[in-house]
Amino acid sequence: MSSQPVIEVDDLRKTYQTGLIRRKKVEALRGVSFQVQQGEVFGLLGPNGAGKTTLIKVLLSIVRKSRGKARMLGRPVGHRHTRRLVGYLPESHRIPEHLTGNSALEYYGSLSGLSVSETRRRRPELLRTVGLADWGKMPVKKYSKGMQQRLGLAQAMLHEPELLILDEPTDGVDPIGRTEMRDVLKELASRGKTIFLNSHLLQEIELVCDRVAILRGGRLQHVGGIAELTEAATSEVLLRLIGTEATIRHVLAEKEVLQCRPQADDHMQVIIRAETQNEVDQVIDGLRKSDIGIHSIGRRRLTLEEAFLNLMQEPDGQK
Amino acid sequence: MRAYFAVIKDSFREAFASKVLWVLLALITLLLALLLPLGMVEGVATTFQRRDISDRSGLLTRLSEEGPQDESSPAGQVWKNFSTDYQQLARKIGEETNEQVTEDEWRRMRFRIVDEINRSLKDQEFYDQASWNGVVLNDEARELVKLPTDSLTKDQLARRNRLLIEAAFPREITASSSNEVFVAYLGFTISENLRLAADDVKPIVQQILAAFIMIFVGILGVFVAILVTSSIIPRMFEAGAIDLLLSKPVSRSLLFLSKFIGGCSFILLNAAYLIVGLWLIAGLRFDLWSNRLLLCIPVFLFLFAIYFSVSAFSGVVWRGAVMSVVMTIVFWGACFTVGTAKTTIELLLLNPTRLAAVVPSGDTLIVKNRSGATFQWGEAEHKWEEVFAADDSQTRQGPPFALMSSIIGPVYDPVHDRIVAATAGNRRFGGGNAGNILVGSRDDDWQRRNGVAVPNGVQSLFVTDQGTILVTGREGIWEFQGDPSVEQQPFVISGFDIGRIFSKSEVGKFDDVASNDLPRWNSPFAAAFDPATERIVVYSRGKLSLLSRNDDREFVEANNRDMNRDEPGVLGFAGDHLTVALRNGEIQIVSTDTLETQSTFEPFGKIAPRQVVSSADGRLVAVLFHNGKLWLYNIDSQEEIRSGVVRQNDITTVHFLPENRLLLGDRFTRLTEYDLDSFEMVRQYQQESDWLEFSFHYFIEPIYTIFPKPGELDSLVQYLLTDESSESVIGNDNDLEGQRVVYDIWQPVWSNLAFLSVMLLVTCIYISRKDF
Repeated sequence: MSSQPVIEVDDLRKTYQTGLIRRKKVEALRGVSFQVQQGEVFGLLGPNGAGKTTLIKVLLSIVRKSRGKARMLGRPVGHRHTRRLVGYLPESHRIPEHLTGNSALEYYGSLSGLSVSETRRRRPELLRTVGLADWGKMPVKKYSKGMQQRLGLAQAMLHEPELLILDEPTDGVDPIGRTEMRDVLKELASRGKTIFLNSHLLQEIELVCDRVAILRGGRLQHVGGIAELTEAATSEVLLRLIGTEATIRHVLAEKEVLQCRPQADDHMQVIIRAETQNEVDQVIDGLRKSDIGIHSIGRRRLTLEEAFLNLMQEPDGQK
Repeated sequence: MRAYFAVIKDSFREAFASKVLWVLLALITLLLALLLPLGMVEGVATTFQRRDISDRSGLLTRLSEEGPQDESSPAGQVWKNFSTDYQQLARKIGEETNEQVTEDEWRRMRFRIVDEINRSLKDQEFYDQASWNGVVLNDEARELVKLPTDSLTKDQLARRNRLLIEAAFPREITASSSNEVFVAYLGFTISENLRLAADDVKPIVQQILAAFIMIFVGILGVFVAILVTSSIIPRMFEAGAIDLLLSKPVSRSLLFLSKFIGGCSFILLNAAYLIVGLWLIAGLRFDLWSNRLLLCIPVFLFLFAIYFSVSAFSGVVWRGAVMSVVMTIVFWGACFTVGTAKTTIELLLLNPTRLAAVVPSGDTLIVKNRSGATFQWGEAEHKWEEVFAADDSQTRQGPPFALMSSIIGPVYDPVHDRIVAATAGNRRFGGGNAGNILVGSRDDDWQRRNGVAVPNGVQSLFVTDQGTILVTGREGIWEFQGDPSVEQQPFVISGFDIGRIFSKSEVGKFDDVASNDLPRWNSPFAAAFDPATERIVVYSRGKLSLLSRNDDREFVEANNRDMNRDEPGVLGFAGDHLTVALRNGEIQIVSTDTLETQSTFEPFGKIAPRQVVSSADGRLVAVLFHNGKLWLYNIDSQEEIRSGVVRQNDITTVHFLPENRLLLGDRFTRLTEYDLDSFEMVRQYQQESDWLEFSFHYFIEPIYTIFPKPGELDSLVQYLLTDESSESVIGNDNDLEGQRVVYDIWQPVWSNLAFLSVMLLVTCIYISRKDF
């Protein structure tokens, strides 16, 4: 594989026409540009209606782009050879109920160009990987939502694609299942596969993804590493102190204390609001005067969720 | 291709996983199990059925006249077994009493005659040699009469008496075949009435099978299939399912087409099971191994595919099973409406107005249309003016019933400058009602005058070069003596046709001019006359007889030949050759001298012929077929004349004129005169179309042409099962000159194939351009 991006979109636009008589235009994508490199686990974030699924469908040519450039694995999207190298798990997918786990993999394997014998050779290991080893002969209609997600992931991985596009893969999956799925994704990434992940679960993204793109109203709000997104400092200072709670509260009486609770190691974790460095210095001086030990101090980093919400609260406009 | 085969395979998997399939298969199994015990048992026919009596009026008349007079005659033997009240009634006919038979009495007598004759079947004293002296018995009857009556079983006695009656009244009673079969269930005869001659079983079973398949598979089966397959395509295009499929390296169109083929597999399984089951039952139980029955499987698959293409398109666009079903039903309704409107208007309203015969009458051109109305060409108004019209409003029939009207002729009589025709009652129903001779003279402005009654069962009317009227039918040849234009006194009772008993008119009569040793002819019957030589050719159930006059002016058989055919035919006769056109589409040119076939043609396949016309010099012959195609042949040069005939699918009538001219009718009432050497048009008789013709030509027919015709695939099934490519509209399949529906077998196939292709193409284009 060359070093060219696995996914490359540039000024990608999609406008839907709705209504039969009074045609209304809906702009689902308004000039989105980003790249995903090989081996990356790339997350796609955005509120409902942001254009995430449209973007994925454009990449898979399920939906045709209106304008702009979209390439995947070195070719313009829509190329049949490219689709052979992609595994896709759609959101709320439906595997026909008359199939069993085994026959579903045979069916989708054949659609991906695999022979039945090849599918049968790969099937046991794959089902074991997704935790369905004992469920192959069972009709799909007896599967729970989580099991269907696992089977969906199995069919996406069946033909050993270069790129996996997963739309809400952990939807309906229990926490243990999610952990298992995360492990599978990490293992795939370690083998150089590229994973393009769309999920509502920000924690999920934070745990798995290297980089994220955030869409809002069809526009790209942010693209970059998770650290870049969360390192923006807040007005909150996180202190780990050695001393009694009463003394600490007494010293910080004039400050806005957001949290003050004992930790397992007899330390007290305290969060105060301090906008300026001068305010922080005053607090340190006060604590030291009252003989309170300072184990650690630092401004608190944003969680991905906070960073995401902050972005959503900003006025609409492309970053 | 692996991916597409996987989709088809998945459809089979889906079908087998569906409860509906198993329910349908179970229902089909039940149906086949119910049909399996149906079969036939052989037996002999004993009691008479209504249909055995070919001429009830004639039989009643003979029995009533001869029975009371001579007890030791066959009629006397039957008469003595009549119930007393029936004898009393019947006496009124036979004896010259002052009592008139009322209409009601006549009807009652006709109705009861079969039951009354059946009373004789149990009579042990029925046979004595004296009474039956002179009656020619067949082998079976001769064997039975040799046996002492006491030793006969009940069935043998009935059979013997029946055969005796049949032999004594051959013209009135149809001879029964010795071996008959009865329809049976679990080996038990269902009803004596359900009895068939052994030879009739095959065509009847085929007809029933065709009807059964058309109803159970063609209508019910397809409807059920539409319901159960309506969800296949919408399910494929559901969100979550289609995304997954379209993300695979497959073509959208081929994906859809594979699923479409897969959907057809559902009906394939059901239709194959039902039809193979019926094929086995027909073979095992009726010894009818019709492999063509199996061809119905692809035909019904095709029929289903047409509806499924609409269902699939709706399923793709609206992604819901309900819309698929609704749109398919709307489509079915539209096809049905267009097809029915076209067929009804054409068959009932327009076809009766089509020209059926041309009768050049001196300077006047007279034509007859299919409903029997006669017109002359009015040069001034440029239109056809009705002449020779029936004056009695009761005998004039509106268009729907006009199909049933039957006028023999008219024929032009140059000696008396008049046209002569005959009404033939309802001969097409095989009844024995008599008609009247009809005459219209030029002096009289062609006004129709009703003459005397024609003999029973008359089918052809000829006029000799001397102006003598000859009529023929299965029962003989008659020559008219007297003045036919003198109207007969009304013996008829309030319009009720009472047969030949009142034909004893003083104003003119028909003399039997068939020599006594001429055989009685059978149906199917056709006759043709060559005025130049005054010879008649009769075609009767495959046998050709050439009849010429002897010194007593009676017709005797000059030659005959058995063609070993049993289908009906039409004849053309002039000079040295006669032309026999058979219902199976075959034309034979036969030498008049030897009656040997000289050439055989089958120009348009198995289409039945309508009319055979020879030129006066016998040099040319034209055969018009029921599909509106004309075949022209030059007997001298032994060449088919192929070029020049325009509107080859729409020719209604043909007539040769002197000086190598040909008159061809087409459209509805248009007549064109051609020069046969150049095939250039000489003149045209064409009146302005009326609104019905206009709207049919420019509105209904074009819509019908472009519309798919799934319903008309029935004709293909009918053809496959019965090998018949046309069918009489009014029931008598032996009548080739009457209106017939010609199954256009391949046209619906092409039209439906075109529709199916367009629907699939449109759906593929829609899918390939659609964002999912």
